[in-house]
Amino acid sequence: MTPETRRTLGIVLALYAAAILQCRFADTISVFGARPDFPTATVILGAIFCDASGGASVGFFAGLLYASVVSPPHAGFGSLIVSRTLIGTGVGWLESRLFRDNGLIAIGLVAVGTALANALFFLLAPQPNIAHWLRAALSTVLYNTVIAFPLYLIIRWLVGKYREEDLR
Amino acid sequence: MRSDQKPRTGKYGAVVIFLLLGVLAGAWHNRMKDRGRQDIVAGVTREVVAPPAGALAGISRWFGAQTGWLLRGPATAAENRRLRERVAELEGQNAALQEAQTKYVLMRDDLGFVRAEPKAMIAADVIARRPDSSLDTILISRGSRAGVHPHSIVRTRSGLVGQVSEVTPDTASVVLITNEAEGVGAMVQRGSSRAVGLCKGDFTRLIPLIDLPGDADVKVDDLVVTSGLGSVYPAGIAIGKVASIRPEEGSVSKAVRVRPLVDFDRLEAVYVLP
Repeated sequence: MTPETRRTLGIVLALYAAAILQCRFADTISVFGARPDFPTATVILGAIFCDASGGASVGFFAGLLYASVVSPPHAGFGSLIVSRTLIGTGVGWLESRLFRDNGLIAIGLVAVGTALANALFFLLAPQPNIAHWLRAALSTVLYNTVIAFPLYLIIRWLVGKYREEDLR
Repeated sequence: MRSDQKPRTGKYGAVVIFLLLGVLAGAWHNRMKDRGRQDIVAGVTREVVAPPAGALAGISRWFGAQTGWLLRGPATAAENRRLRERVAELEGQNAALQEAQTKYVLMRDDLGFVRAEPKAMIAADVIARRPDSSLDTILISRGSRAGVHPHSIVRTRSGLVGQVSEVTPDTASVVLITNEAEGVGAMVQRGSSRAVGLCKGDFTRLIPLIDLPGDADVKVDDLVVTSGLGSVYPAGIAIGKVASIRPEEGSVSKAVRVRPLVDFDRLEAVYVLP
């Protein structure tokens, strides 16, 4: 298996697992109402190992999975997809400027990325209850920050230790 | 750097395409939803995730049932005692109610009322329970193939859960009554009250009961049921019990909050009224 194939398969598997975990365990493991957002964390951590277009594709499919599962009752289906696509693109764009094997960078990226993804979603599809949305978004950012490092280790293992020159 | 080796248009062309696809998927989804039809894109995606999530739900339920007593031994024993007493009490009440029901049916028949046969309810497992913090929705394991359609009512044995918003062949998305998008015509069940209002979710655990008349006779612990007004929810489904009553400042009305009978944090299975 070529390194690029392994990377693609690894990210696809991570996204799929993230969507299933979100379905089944996001509510079960909530703490004081705070729930993790596994698909968004996976977009950010997966996009670290991609370029801008790869990050966009990861973000698009993660957004589609997430939107299909949470099914916002008001408008917001497309906004979830676009916000995740933009975040994936942004992290992918940073790819050549980041040192991948650094857990601290991954944690920081997940915190900032989750906050930005939620902010973008709100800009694209303003929610009626701002206080509730803000509370939910902040608690998700905190939760994602906590789970970022173990998720990063899993995704790095799935993606494999490829070197930049292997992809050329 | 790799970025130098690719033409600029090729590098960002894919980004533009995915963003456009996102916008189109959103527009398509809203259009289909407005027309009350299934969005095939969201449907296929959800059908891909639903089976393993459903299987995982079954496994975790089984595991919880097998090992839960390890963590909750003494508490379970006490709960069992309490429940046995409660069952005995309810059996007594049930016998009296069945007797009253029999008399009621006989009287209705004597008076020549047309009896509507109740439709069978569709049992469904909860695949995803509130997967997003800011949207009170759940995903269930029955869809259009089983007869579920948008606006179908979802309940448990204890009370009202919400309303179906979208369906795919084998799944349905349900908006909970705690969601701000939901408003349920409600009524205090106590015979001397029968005050009518609207249970309007605000994402909190206690649902506000609004639009009550100023002189409404409401007491803490009163049972609140669906009123049947508004043509969406049938009458007589339990919503919850009145948890608090406070006078509203600058108004003659009261701020009433209802604690739902359904425990949304432990929702595992529901019934759909087709």
